[in-house]
Amino acid sequence: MPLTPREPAPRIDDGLSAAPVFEIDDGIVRLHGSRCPRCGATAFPRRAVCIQCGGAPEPLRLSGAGTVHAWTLLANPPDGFAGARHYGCIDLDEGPRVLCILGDEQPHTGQRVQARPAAARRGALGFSFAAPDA
Amino acid sequence: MREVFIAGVGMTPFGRFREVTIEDLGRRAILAALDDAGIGQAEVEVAYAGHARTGRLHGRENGVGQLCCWSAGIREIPIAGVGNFCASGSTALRETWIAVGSGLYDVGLALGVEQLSTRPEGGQPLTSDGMELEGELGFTPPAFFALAARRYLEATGVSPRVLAQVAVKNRRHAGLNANAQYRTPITIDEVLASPMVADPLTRLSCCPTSDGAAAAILVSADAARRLGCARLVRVLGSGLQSGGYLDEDLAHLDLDRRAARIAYEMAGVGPEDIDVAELHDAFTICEIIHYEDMGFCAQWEGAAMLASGDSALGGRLPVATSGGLLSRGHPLGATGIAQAVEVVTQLRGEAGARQVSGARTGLIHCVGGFIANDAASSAVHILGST
Repeated sequence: MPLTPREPAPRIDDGLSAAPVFEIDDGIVRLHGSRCPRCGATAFPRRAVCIQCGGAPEPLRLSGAGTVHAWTLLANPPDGFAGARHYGCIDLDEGPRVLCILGDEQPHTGQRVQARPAAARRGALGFSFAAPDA
Repeated sequence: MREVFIAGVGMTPFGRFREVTIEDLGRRAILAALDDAGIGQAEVEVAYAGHARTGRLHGRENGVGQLCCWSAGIREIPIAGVGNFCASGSTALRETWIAVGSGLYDVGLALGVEQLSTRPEGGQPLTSDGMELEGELGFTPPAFFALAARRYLEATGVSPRVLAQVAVKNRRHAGLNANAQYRTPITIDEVLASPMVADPLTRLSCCPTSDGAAAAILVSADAARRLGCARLVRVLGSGLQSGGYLDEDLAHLDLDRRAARIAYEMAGVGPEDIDVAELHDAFTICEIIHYEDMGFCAQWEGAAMLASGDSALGGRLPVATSGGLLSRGHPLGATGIAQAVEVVTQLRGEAGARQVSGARTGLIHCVGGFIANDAASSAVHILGST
């Protein structure tokens, strides 16, 4: 039976699924977000379609700087975190909101914070937010 | 849409029942609802089953409705599962309402069933479907609502003691409901002294791990006459909404406001007409925020509404007369239908010691799931006596 030449597989990957959400570059946390050129809405992680206007967002590297909108102390964090952790709602300077563990120092609402390399769940390389000079 | 009536309701007690299966739970609720409506299995023309965790926990992502209906003696009808987070049961109710209201069917069964006590994580907070990245960064549902609670307390200057009062009130109500999971009265000090989960939410500020099932029979006016169903409650309005993902203030949920507005407009009533309500009090703070988002009071006045006694039995608008998610229990997919069971019982004047006198219009509300820092699904139904 002759082998029929195989059709090339259709390409459905637009590169978004495989793109890293963040990278750590020489101790600096690079958060990969996006910005819609049509309406200006920003997002983190990066989006393929703008939720505000349906436009096509472009990659935006976020500064990792933001402000604490609200915070709590998780006495009972998800599996994979050892012990109690501060947790917060951070509004990033470029607009997106991120819910994330915070550093060990007691946070306060309205505090300026910066993304820092930190152990995420089960010790994986990740990030948390803490005072810029911490 | 033509008029649709709830002709019968039934539920299992809520609790931890490791010795039975989801099939047993579902069958018991279906048979109770059929008995309550006074109809036989052969009258049911369509069924929807709400369940949220049966895939992960029981290896049954599909077929829970068929299984429970088969177990209860119902066959050869269209059946579909409805997965919609904590609003799975409410959404099954809505799908059944649409199926009967459209005229395609005259008698429908809405089932909600869940068995969570077999989950392996024990006392850890339940995760939420699809929150992988967020979970890596520390997210759990109590963590999210702890942030909402801290935001609410900071904005209003209200004390955590007021939040604890939600748990105390709903436990007191549950003491009058034989189907509730926790019925022993608790005090504010006991709520505050129970182990901290996510500040300011303690263990008694969070809904428990629950098993249970609830069912409702929905009929057209013609079917009600033909089958001799007499204790009817009317479905006045239904709203179902997804998130808006706008990163708004954490202390309210815009999708809840939209779902409520749609249900009120359809029902032709307003918040001032509601006599009794079951809200999604998964955590104490939630009930207070929901008072505001349902329009029962103005924004930031929910804590005052609670403190005034307005939302307790005997008050202006009793909320969670069943005990709510906090004390009746929260078997995810069963909750929305259990809320309908409670409000139907109230509107028929059959709630016994916890009866809200003269209740004619009731509201039920479920909200669940998370996508992009917002809740994923909100369902509001308004029911009226006939």
